[in-house]
Amino acid sequence: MAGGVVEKPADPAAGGDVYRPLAVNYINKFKGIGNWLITLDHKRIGIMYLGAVTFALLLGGLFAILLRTELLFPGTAANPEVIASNDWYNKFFTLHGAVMVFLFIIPGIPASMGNFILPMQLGAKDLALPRVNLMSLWLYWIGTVFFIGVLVLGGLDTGWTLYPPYSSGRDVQLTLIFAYTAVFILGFSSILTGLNFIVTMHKLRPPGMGMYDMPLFLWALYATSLIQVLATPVIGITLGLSIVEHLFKIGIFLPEYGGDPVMYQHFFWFYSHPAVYIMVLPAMGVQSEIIATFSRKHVFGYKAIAWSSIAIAAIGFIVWGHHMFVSGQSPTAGIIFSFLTFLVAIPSAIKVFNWVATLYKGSIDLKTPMIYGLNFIYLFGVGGLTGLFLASTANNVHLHDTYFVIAHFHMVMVGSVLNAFLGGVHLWWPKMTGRMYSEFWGRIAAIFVFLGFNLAFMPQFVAGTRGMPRRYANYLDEFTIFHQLSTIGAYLLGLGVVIQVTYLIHSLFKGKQAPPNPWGASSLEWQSDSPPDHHNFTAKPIVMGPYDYENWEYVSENRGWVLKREVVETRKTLAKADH
Amino acid sequence: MSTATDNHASQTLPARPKELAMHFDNLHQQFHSGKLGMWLFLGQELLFFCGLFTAYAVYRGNHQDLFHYCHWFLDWKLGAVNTVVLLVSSLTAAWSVRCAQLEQRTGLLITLALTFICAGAFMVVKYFEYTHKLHIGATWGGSFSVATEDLPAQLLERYPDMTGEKLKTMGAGTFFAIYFCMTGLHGIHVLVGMGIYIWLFIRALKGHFNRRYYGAVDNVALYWHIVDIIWIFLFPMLYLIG
Amino acid sequence: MTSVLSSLGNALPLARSGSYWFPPQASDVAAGHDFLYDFTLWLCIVFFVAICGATVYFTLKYRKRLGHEAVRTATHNTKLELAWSIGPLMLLMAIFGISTYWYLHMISPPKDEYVHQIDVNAQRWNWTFKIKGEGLDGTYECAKLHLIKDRPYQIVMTTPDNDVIHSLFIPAFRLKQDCVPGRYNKLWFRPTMTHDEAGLEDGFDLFCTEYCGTGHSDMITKVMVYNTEAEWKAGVVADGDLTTKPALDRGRMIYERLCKSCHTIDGSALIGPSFKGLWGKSKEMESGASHKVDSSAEGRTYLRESVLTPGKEIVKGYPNQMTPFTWGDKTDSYLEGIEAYLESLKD
Repeated sequence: MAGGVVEKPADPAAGGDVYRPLAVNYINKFKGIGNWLITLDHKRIGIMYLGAVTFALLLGGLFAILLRTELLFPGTAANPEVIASNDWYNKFFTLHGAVMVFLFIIPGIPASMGNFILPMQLGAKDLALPRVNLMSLWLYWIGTVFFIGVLVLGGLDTGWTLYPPYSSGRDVQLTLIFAYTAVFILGFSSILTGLNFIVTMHKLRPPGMGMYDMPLFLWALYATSLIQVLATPVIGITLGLSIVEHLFKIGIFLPEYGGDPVMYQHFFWFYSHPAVYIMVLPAMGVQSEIIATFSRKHVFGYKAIAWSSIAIAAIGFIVWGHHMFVSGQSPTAGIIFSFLTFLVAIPSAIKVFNWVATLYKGSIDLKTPMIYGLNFIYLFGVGGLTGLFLASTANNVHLHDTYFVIAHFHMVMVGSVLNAFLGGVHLWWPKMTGRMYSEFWGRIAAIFVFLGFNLAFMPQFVAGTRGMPRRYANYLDEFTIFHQLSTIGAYLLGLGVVIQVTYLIHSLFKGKQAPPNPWGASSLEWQSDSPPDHHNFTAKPIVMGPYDYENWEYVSENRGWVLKREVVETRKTLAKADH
Repeated sequence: MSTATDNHASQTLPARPKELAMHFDNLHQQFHSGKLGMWLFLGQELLFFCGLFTAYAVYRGNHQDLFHYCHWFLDWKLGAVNTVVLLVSSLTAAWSVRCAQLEQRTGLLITLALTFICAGAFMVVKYFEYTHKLHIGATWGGSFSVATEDLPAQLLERYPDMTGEKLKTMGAGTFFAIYFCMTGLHGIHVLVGMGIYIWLFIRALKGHFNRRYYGAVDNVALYWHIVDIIWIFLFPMLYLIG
Repeated sequence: MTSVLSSLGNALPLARSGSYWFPPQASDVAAGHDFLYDFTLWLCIVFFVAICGATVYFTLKYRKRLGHEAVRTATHNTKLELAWSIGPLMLLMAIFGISTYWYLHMISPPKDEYVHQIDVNAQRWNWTFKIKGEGLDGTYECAKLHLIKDRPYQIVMTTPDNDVIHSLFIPAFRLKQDCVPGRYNKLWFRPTMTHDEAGLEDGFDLFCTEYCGTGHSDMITKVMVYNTEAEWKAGVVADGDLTTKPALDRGRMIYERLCKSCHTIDGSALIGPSFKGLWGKSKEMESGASHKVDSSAEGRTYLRESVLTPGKEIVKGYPNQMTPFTWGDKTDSYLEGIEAYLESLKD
């Protein structure tokens, strides 16, 4: 019965061309919300994460639209408001940043797709520590509730970086305490996810699968998890201290009481710079899967991509000072941090070169995920290369805290990560939901996202080099054109996302039944049913290389790709010999 | 070539131990997964404390003299007593693992209880230390205000013209901010540990542990050792170095 | 070296003074900065075009179509991979070298000539430049930064302890430095172009670039660079000494510089109470007392206290957020100006 290990239908006339999904799968095995809330099933947890982070994406996007609208016109001293006062604008960008960073991008890919896919790519039944996984989800929810508390109580205007003395130095304020608490709790959610992933990859790999036989997505998640476990506690203690500082004014960070605000910045960026890699590494992992699958080529330079993830994670820990070139830290430290920052560019570049080389002599199928894959190469190219300007101390002094920085990190964090997130959702949507989405609308939306994105952020580079500072509610007339282009781009981008949400939800109800392997991908999750069984696989998956595409052959649209008969036979014989 | 035990096949195999979760192949795999998870958690704990150790190093570097004066506020004798108490509790914690492995149920219950009692004793001593400091006003940030007659005798002996006001302007509040944060966070860890030991004790009473299944006792003992080790660093850094 | 680099920089099409990318080059590090930017930019363009070109070319050439199959090629190639790791690394080190050269220049004031010092106070949400020197009788507190072309300056930045972090940014100089409470951060530069030469009558822009709250985007002022000492002196005195102005003008100018970001004159409340109609009206304080500003002795004492020690009495319903102001021997004259201005705003 079923799985990807189906034999080719002998007689299509006897209904053999129809794929029959499992009658009981992980979605309908248990009924009721109560069952979902206490489930230990990594797939259900992944799905709930996916829903939650998508909600956060839309919420953060709403704030982005609001703040871009405020910036449509310069605002004058006499009439500063376009749609809102300076104070409201400050809340918009704070909430946009905080929601996007803490609720969407950091948990985004690992917690949703990582949770769902990781055990399946190992052929396992679950993550090693399912209860820890559920706890991580609950912590995420509690953190989210605190964030919603911040919104309900009137918002926050400190910037997502929460720098003292502007934040903790003020009179005690409930929203601020909620925000600190939220990030603190979300941090532990992230730590537990990372911890679980590392344990799972070490302990639940099937016999016959070494570390080098894992899909590159898992290597990326491994590197991500290392950062999550080792960097996140530092933001935990930092925000813990900030709460105490805010309540009791103990004088750790506040200069008024003998503290050092620059130390907060060191602590903060010791986490928040590696956090950038928590965001981008899983994105790179998804990217590796997409590029290889839709080129039908073994990924080029497997070990280089795998180890570059680890290298990025390792070097990423020692570059935090480049956020503080103009804060008054010692110039010597500045130069060292600059040097290290240049080093981290190399493993990133290696990945890009390898992806391009993978395309060579492939058979490139421009399905929706692949369009995101190609977008990724372009946007990550822009984002990564503009990082070089910021890594240079001499240029950074001018560009620091201008729109150049805004454009740069949006190219990386949104351009690349959001792209890969959307690409991953489209890649695994058939597996998660058992439904195919509209390919036509998928492509249209992908193109909207791409165009809107470029229009939104390319002009910001120029505004930045010309001196437009970030976090300005009003600006000088000379920057008007850049802001207006950017706002139009933001609207386009928003439209693209709305289209997506619409057709994806539509597909849930009206979408065609997805075959187990619609793309001909080769990692183990594609040997399960769509949607998978409660225990993931109804028959043992056949362990093989994640990029051995020649093991699969295309049958029909309804059946998708199935394993070649001779592959199944050989493996069965081998397995028998093992016993 | 198989990954996990097949559903259908498992019915014909010998019964799975009741402690074995469905996604593991055997208890060995399960035990080591838990243990690796705990080690990663301990790595996380170290970095959690790391922020405070860094803050300590920075402020100590900036205020050498202040840390010299203020360390006399802390009673090294009480600190030493607490160190011994914690070391003993680590011993009983390690012993409890051995008891669990050997299925010595009474021994297990006794060692678990002893660990809990030592942790409690530690907190009692800490309570007296804290209340004394709060009483004389040796507190954090701007709230530091110790009358000159409440200054430690050793401090006044060496620096007879030292006053509470002087210490305050030098920024003694920073020292106590660090002191309370570091020992406070450590104290919270001790309290959490006490809670977990109650849970272990109840499970041990119910006879949950045996020679093949004692991961919880082992992992909690690991946690308890890290709490101990952190104190081993805090004690000299705050109480002893002048 | 400087001139070689700057002429090289100018030879590149995108690095003209006041170019597509940048404001005019008005300090002696600007040309170096722009050269580095262009150098990096062209390197990036080469790589970017190569990467995207290859991607597009492969996508078109090897697109999925009938009769086209993927060809199994090498799964890795150590030599190629080493080449594309070490090659870019060399280029990055070149960028790092140039960058560090200019950075060292930016952070090291000249040792063999006199460096003029200007103290800067940044507070929510205005800048005060304390300018002194030859030909000036004492220190002038100016709202704009006044400089003489080709002289080296070092500015020493402070922020009151209970204020927040600000950052001083002069795009035309390509320079920026945070003002952190509890620290004295320094920044030196040598202006090489007057604002008139740059075609900017009002002066070069000076922004606050560290987010500091409500008035962050209004914390903008100008840098004036003069050719001669005489012009400079006239500028400093006109900006820094308000005591020679009539009391009402004096008050209005102080309001525009220092009070505007928190107190309106149209009756709406901002951070603090509006100045409109404040004159002569009793206001209840957080402490329970009530005070009013008028020309009586008590009224004047209250006004003086609310400027010099604003935390002492807070008007009910407003936060205790104002930083104290004081102007040395000009204080009396300035208070007189504020009083006159407040009186002019009475209902």
